[in-house]
Amino acid sequence: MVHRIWDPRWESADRSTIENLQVELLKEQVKRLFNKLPYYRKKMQEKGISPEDVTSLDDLRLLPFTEKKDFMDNYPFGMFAIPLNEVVRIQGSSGTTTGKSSIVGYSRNDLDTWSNLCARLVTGAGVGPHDVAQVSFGYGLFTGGFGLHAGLERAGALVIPLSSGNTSRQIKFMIDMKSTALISTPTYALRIAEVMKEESIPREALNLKWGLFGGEPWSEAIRDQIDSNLDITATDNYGMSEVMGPGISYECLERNGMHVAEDHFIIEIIDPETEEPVADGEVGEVVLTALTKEAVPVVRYRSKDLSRIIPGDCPCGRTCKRMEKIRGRTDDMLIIRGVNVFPTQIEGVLLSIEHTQPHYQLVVTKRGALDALEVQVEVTEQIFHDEMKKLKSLEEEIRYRLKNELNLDCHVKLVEPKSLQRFEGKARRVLDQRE
Amino acid sequence: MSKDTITQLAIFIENRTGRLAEVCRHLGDKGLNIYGFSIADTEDYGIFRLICKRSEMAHEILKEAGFTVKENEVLCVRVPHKPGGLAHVLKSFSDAGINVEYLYAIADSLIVFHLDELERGKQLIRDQGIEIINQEDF
Repeated sequence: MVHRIWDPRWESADRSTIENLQVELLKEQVKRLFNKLPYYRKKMQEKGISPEDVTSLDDLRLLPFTEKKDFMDNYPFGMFAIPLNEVVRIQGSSGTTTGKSSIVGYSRNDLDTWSNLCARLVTGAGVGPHDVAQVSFGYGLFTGGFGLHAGLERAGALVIPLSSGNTSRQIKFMIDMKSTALISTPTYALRIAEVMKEESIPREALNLKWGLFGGEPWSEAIRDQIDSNLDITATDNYGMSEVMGPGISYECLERNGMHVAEDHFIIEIIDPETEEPVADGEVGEVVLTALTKEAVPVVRYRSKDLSRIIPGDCPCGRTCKRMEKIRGRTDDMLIIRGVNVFPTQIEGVLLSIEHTQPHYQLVVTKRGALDALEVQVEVTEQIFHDEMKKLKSLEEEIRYRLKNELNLDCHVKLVEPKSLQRFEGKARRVLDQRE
Repeated sequence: MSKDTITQLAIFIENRTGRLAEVCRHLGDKGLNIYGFSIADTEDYGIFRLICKRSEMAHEILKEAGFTVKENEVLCVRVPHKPGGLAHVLKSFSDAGINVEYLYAIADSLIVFHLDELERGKQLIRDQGIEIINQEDF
């Protein structure tokens, strides 16, 4: 196996070089946050911390966390540390509980950093100047499309910005352009394989070698399926818009953990309950500090993703820490076809229709390769009607409003009251039957 | 004084084995007789509409049992038992611009109508001397 490394100076730096850099960057970043961002200064003051208290990597633990809620509370520009005229790009993330997106901005330097990180990512995944890369991520506020696009261009690949949807057309382009790399969510890759089968297109019609998949957690079982159905080498990559976007960590061709770009990020794994660091190699919540971000600097961001640090060195030659594939979430956020969905969003839609606390359950299944979301709604007297067409139009209205809210098609099923499971304490709203 | 309408109970029922039987059992246990019913169904659920004498009590019983129930005033007409009898009644509604949301027969020639304009519909039938059934008539 040939391992290519885009930025060996940093990806393969020795430990002390990395840590010395991290300390210096961290001190600068904390100063920036304290001086420029009132919300974070307040958090620090509440904990009695000043920038001078941060002198080593261990001092990171003194600092307050940042959460998705901070992005909501400070929407739209309260997290920006530079004037808007120095911001050159806005991106954001889907799926928030308040209907507001997490909005993030990038300075010119930030975009340069980000595309360089994505160039590392694609290089690690096997893609180089001789590849034809088809980006089937959506282009828009979602960081996947623009992030990978920039990284692929920088790495010298020929980029086809096809964006998401229209699977038959995706396959036609793959054949006609002789695409060698597919960039999408893992479930979409399976969908492509499925449609090829339906349309009796043989695997030999494709030149595809590499699959770079992200945007949602996926298991090794899914990887095996993609590898064999499409006969490609599928790699995982990780990121979130609040911290940067894709490029925070990425697999190399060893496919045993995602290398963290430690010259730009510090990764911690904490116990989500106690908020203390877990022992080396133990599973916990991923917490990320962006060391070089100028427009929206973020320290100790609670990702709510569960993972662990894989001990030992990687044969690829990179020395940066590896995090395992994401195992799950600490909250009830669902990722369906790459779209973040919070049960509270669905609750909000139902509340607006029923004008009362709705009883509902979400059932996530696989329909073929794609995730399907079924929203089961209990029929109360408020919404029940003796005419079928009115019940049907109610179903349709719920479906339509959910589509507007979530940007996702779901199946709405009306059920009898109390047929949904009732739980003591926290309601279990979600039945995930995908695996 | 009679109201010239009867009360229909509509019940939401999931398409699961035994749910319909369950509704009927609850009423039977309390000695309530069902005079007639109709069902509108989809793949996932159905609307069970029924007519019984003591509709308030039936409503209570089913609500207690956890069903979603809705009461509606509907018109019950003894349609002349001869060729064209139903056609005649339907034509009078349509001529008057009254919509029939749905209808069903419950016994012999008794037809239940859910109309969008109940009062006008009642008057129309009365004017023609066609018999209207009241709850007490059961």
